[in-house]
Amino acid sequence: MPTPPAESAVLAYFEQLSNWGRWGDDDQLGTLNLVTSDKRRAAAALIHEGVAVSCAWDIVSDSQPDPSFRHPQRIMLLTGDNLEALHWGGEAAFSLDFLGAAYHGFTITHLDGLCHAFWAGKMYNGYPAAAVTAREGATQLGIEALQSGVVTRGVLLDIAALKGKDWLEPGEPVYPEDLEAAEERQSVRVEEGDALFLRTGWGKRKRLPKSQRPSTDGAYPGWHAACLPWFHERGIAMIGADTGNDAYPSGYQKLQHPIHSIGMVAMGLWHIDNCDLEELGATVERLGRSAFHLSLAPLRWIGATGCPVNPIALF
Amino acid sequence: MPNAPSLDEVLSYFETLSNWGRWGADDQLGAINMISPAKRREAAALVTEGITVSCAWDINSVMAHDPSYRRPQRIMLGTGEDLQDPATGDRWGFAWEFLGLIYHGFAVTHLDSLAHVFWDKKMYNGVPAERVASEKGAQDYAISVLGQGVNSRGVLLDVAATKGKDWLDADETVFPEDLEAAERRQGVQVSEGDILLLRTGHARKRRVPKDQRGDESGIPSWQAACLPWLRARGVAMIGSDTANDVAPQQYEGMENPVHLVGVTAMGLWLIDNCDLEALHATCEAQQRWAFQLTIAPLRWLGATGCPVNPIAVF
Repeated sequence: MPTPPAESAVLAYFEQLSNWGRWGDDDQLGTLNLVTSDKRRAAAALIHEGVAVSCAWDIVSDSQPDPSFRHPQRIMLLTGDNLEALHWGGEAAFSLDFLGAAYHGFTITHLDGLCHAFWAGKMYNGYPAAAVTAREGATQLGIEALQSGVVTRGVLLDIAALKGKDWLEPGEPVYPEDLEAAEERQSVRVEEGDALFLRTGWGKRKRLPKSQRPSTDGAYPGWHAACLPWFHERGIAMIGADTGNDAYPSGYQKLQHPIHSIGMVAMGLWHIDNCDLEELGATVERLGRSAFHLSLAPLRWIGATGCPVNPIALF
Repeated sequence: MPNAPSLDEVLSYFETLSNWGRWGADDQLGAINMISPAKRREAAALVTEGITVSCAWDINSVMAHDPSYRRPQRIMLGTGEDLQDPATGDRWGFAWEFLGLIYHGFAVTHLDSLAHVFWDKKMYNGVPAERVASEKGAQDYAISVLGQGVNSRGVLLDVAATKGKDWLDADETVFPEDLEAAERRQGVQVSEGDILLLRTGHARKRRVPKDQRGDESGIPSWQAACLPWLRARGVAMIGSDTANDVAPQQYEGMENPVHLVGVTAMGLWLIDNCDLEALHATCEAQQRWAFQLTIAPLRWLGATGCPVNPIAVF
C-alpha cells in the first residue's frame, strides 16, 4: 500500500491545487471549464452500439434508505383509485403528485453544486460561505450554473475488479497507484475534461439483504486524498463514485472529507455522489470499452446547492 | 385554416390511433419503443459543433409561478450563515436543502409519464386507473420506466417563425398542414423515433412585461388533428413551449385531447412547458432543426412524471 501523505501535506493542497482565479474572478463552472466543444464531439463519436446505461439508483419513497436524511417524499395528490370522488367527473382524469427530497447524504444519486462545501468560511474561487443564505439559497455557485447540462467523455475505473474483490472494504482508500493500475488493466487513459467514475463494488454490496452486510459504522471506501493532485494534473472535470466519493474515515483529523473540501473549494471539482455503477461496470466488461458518452442534466433550480441526477452513459 | 375534426372524429381516435397491445400486453414504454439503437447512433452523428442547449425554464422558488399548483419549495437546511463557531477549530462546513414541488401544471418544464392520464378509468394499454394509488403511487408507467433515459433525434418545428409571428395568437391551433409547412421551410422531415418539439413562441411571450403580451385569454398548441399525423410519422415523444393542449378547450367533455388520446391511446410521452427560445436561436444560427436530444428523468419509483431539463446537442 502506498504511504499516505501527512496531514500537513494534504492541507497544503488548498494552495497547491487551487484553481481560484484560473477561469476568471466570477467563474461559476470550476473544472467544467475543461469540457470543450471538441471534447463533446469526441464523446459523441464514442456512441457505436446505441446502448444507454443509467448510473443512478432508484429513488424509493416507501422504505428507509438513509436515516440521516429522511425519506424522499412522494405525496400523491390525485390518483386513479378514487376517481368517483373527483369533482370534475366525466371520462377524463389525471394523476398528480408532489416530489421532494433532501438529496444530499449517502443514498440518492446526486450532483453537488460547488456551493455545497465550505472551508474556512469560503467557497470555490473565494466566494464567502455567507453567500448561501437561508432565504435565497445559493446566491453564488448554485446548481443553475450547469443549466445547459454536462456532456463529455466518461471513463469508468473499476478498482474492485482490479483488486479481484466483490467490493472494497469499508474505509478502504483508493490511491493514484490503483487508478493507474486500473488504466493499464483496462487499456484506457484518463484525459483532460473527462468525467471519472470510480467503481468500488459498493453498489453490489448495497444490493445484499441487510443481514448479509454488517454495519460499517459509517465507513465506506472512496478516493484517498492523495488522488487530488492526480485529478489536478490529469484535468478531471467531474468525479463520481458508487459511494460518497471520500473514503471515510479519511485518516485525517482536521479533514474529514478532503475530496469534498479540497476538491470543491480549492479546485472547483464537481462530484456525483452515490452512483450505481453495477450495470455500467458490466457493460464496460461486456463491450471491452471503458470510455463512453456521458450526459447529465441537473434541474435549473435557482439557489439549490445540488440536484438529484440520473447520469446516462451511452455506448 | 383547415377544418377541425368533429368531437366524434376525435373520440374515434381512441380506437383508430390505439397502440394498445402493439408492443406487448406488459409494455411500459409506449411510443418510446420506436427509439432504436440505430436511432441513437443517428442522433449522435448530429453532434458536429459540440454545443449544448437547454430546453427548460429555471425553477424559481422565490417568484410565484403557477398559482394553481403553488410554488416550488427550496427549504435550506444548512447554509453559510450558520457555520459552527470558529472557536471549535472546524474549518469545514456544508450547505444542503430540501427540494420539492408539484411539477405538473403550466410553469415547470416536466415530462408526463403514461400514468398521468386516465380515460374511462383506464390508462395506456388498458391498465386500470386504480393502479395509480394513494399509498404506492403509480404501480405501472411510473417515470422510473425511463430509468435509462431517453436519447434520440430531436426536431424543432418552429411554427411561430413559419407563420412570421413572434408568438401564435392566444387561441391559435396548430394543424398538420402547419407542421408540414414548417418542415418545408426548415428542410427537415420528421421520422420514426423522433422527439418532436413545437415552438409557438409562447416562451417569448412569457418573457415580456404583462402589459405587452396582448391577449392572454388562451394558450396555443397542437390541434387534435395532429394526433393521426404524429402516429403516422412514428413520433416517440412531443414537447412544446406550452402545455401541449390548447385553451380554451375545443371539445366539450374531451378537454385536453392531446393528453387524453396521446397518452392513453397512443402511449405518447409529453414534455410540457419547455423554453424553446434558446433552441430556436441556435437552430436559426446553425440553419438546422435536427439535433441529439437527451432527457434523463429521475428514477423516482411511483411518480407520475418528473421535472426535466432536456438538453439538445448540436
